[in-house]
Order: sequence, then structure tokens, then C-alpha cells
Amino acid sequence: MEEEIHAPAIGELPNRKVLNKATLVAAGMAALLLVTVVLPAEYGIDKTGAGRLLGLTEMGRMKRAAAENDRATPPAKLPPLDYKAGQTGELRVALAPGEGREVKASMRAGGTMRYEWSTNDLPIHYELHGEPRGAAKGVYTSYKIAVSKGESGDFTAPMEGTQGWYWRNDTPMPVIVSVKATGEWAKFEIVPLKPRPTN
Amino acid sequence: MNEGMSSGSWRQPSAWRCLIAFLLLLLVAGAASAHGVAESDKGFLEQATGPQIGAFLYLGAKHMMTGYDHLLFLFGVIFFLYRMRQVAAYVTLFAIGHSTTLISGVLMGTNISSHLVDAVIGLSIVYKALDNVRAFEAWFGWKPEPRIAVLFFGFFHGFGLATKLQDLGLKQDGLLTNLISFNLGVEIGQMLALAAILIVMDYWRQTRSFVRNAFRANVVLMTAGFLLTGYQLAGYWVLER
Repeated sequence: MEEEIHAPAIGELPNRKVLNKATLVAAGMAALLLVTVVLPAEYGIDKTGAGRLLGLTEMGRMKRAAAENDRATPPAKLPPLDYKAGQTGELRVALAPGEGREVKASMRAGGTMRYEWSTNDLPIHYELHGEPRGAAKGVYTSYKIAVSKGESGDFTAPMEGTQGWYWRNDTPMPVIVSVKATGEWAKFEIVPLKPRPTN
Repeated sequence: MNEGMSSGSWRQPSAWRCLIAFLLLLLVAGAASAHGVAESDKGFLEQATGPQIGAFLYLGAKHMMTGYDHLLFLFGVIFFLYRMRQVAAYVTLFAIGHSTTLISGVLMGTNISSHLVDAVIGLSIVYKALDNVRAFEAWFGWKPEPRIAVLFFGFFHGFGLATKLQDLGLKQDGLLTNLISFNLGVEIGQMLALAAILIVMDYWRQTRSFVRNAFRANVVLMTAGFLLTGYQLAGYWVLER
């Protein structure tokens, strides 16, 4: 099946017949590999059965399921939360030296909150951040990290999930943080103790 | 181009030889992850806040050196470039192209489907292979200006990077510094990859095998481009539609 053809030399204008055939060979080979190898191995699509024969289709199905899972945000399994506007919350957190705590509001994407927090006049390390709802442990987005005695502002949640502050007392004195907020959320609470060694 | 080279009578690239050459190519590229950023790096990018010059330089360079689509395109671009000055000119154009869209794309939040962008990158490889065998002149008696084409496809390679970086949720804090670092890293990685490709090409060009196989190699390159395009279009069809 190998034909002897005068193929073009380097820099020479190729004969159209040779060129057309070469292009078709390239496209055909690509299509063949796509259908028999790549589609089964990447997406679990196996029209010819070659993927199963080569042991690729199962891998492709798994990859595809994982990719589709990643894209579905938030995962469909999570029940809708009851976000209510016009709520008010007021919390106090006492932090021993070296201790860290979080206050979080469960908010919908685009939900807003007006907040104000202050300490007993001692500087405290804090991070304003949010965790997407249903995200894996340790996945979060940081909005602001600073040291301050207090701060106030308006916050709009960029995604559905828990939004709020992590405070860590780096002073040798006990620090009391008082937070007041009004806005739209399903829950506003002190998160059970769980140190965040990353900061 | 090089009158000293005799025009040999070659065999039409046979299907089997192409297949074998291509599978070897895949094996070599197999170690390289496609266009994406590796999973472990993703974790870092999601957590990183503030300027991280060293880390982003490294990630940019790594991305370029392990992205087989970029490497195939570069291979095609320098296939027939013999002079260092020409190589430098083309690489500069490519760098201008992808830097523009990488930085502006992330800053403006442009988000195109990464599958579609990668499909165009696959086509850029097909284009370069065809250009190398002077196909456009043979077909139409006219060919796109290669410098403009390299710049144009540079834009797409940059868009691909921009889309992927944004998918990782980069922080505003230190964004510009990190972006410029990543982009510089891409240039460094490109230079390193290019140096490796040039060394191999220089050696190969001095052998008779180059004369015999130049046409065939570009047909294989074209095959890889078509395959990448099909792979990405299928990804768009399956996952994003």
C-alpha cells in the first residue's frame, strides 16, 4: 500500500495531489485516534468499542464524571437554605492569648450585610474570608487580612457559603471582640473552635 | 530556502509510519500535562494571597515546559528557522501576543471556554505545519504573513492561560505582581523549551534524515494539531454545552 510519490523537497512548492493526500492522511489519522483512543480515554465515549478493547473507556467515564461534578457548583445534593433579609445579629467572642475563633454568616451569592466589630482596644489579627457552600475542607477565599482594633463596612457575598471573620489573639492579654451585623443570611453564629494553623 | 539540499524522491508518509511516529510523540508528551495547571499547583493557587513572585515565576515556567500544545506550536514555528535572529523575532512576537491577552484577560475578567481556546491552539499547530510545507501557496497561491499569524495565535495562547488562571480564583491582593511574575515565568520556560528544541533541531538538520523527513514530520505535526482540536471540541461538546 506504500506508493512511491515524488514528495516536495525542503522549501519547494508541493504538488497539490501530494499535499491533499498528506492533509487527508493527517486529518484521517487524527479522526481515527480521536474516535478509538482519545474520546474513550478522556470522556468515556466509545462508539466503536475500541476503547473497551484497549481498556480505556472506564477511565474516561470516571474522568468525565469527575469533571462534571467539578462544574456543578453548588452540588445539587445541598438543600436550599432559608435566606432572610433584614436580620440583625450581635455576638461577643472572648479570646485568650494565642486563641483564634470565627464568626460566620451563611449567605447566598450576592447577599449583603453591614457590619461593625471592635475589640477592647487591643489590636487583633483578622482575616475576612468565605467558604463556598459544600466546598471541601480547607477551601476558602480570602478577602482581607490585617491587624486592627475594629472595622466596619458593607459586604456582598461573592458566592453562596459561609462568610465572615477569623480572629486570632496575638497579644499576651485577653481580647474581647464584639460584632454587630445587619443583612441577609440563613445563620449568623460563632463557629465552633477550630484553629487555623495556616495563618 | 536552502539550495544546497537535493530534492529527494520521498515516499508519501505512509499511514503506519505516521502512526508510529505519532505514538512516540504522545509517549514523550505523555509526561507533560495538557494545557491545564497541575492539580497540586491548583491547591496552592487557591490559597495564595499577596505577591508571590518566586512561586508564580516557577508556575509560569513549568506551565510552558510541560504544556505539549505550546511545545508543538513552537516546534512548528522554528522548524525552518535557521538564524538566531529570526528565531528571536518570532519568539518575541509570540510573547507579545500571549502577554497581552494573559494580563488584560485576567485583569478584565474575560472568560472564554478553555476548551474552545485550546481547540484554536490545536488549529494553530495545523496552520504552522501547513505553512511549513508551503501548503497555502500551493492551494491558493497566497499565504498568510507568518509574523502576523504567530502574533494572532499568540493572542489565543494567552487567552488560554488567562482563562485557566481565573478558574483558579486568584486573589485581588498582589494580583498584578503575580500575573507579571507568571508571565515572566512563561517567557523563561519558553526560552528553556526553545533551547532544548533548537539543540535537537540543529543536530537533526545536519543529517540526511532531515531532508528525507521534513515533509513527513510536518504531516505528523498536523496530525497532532487535528487531534488536539478534536479532543478539545469534544470536551466542549461533552462538558460545557
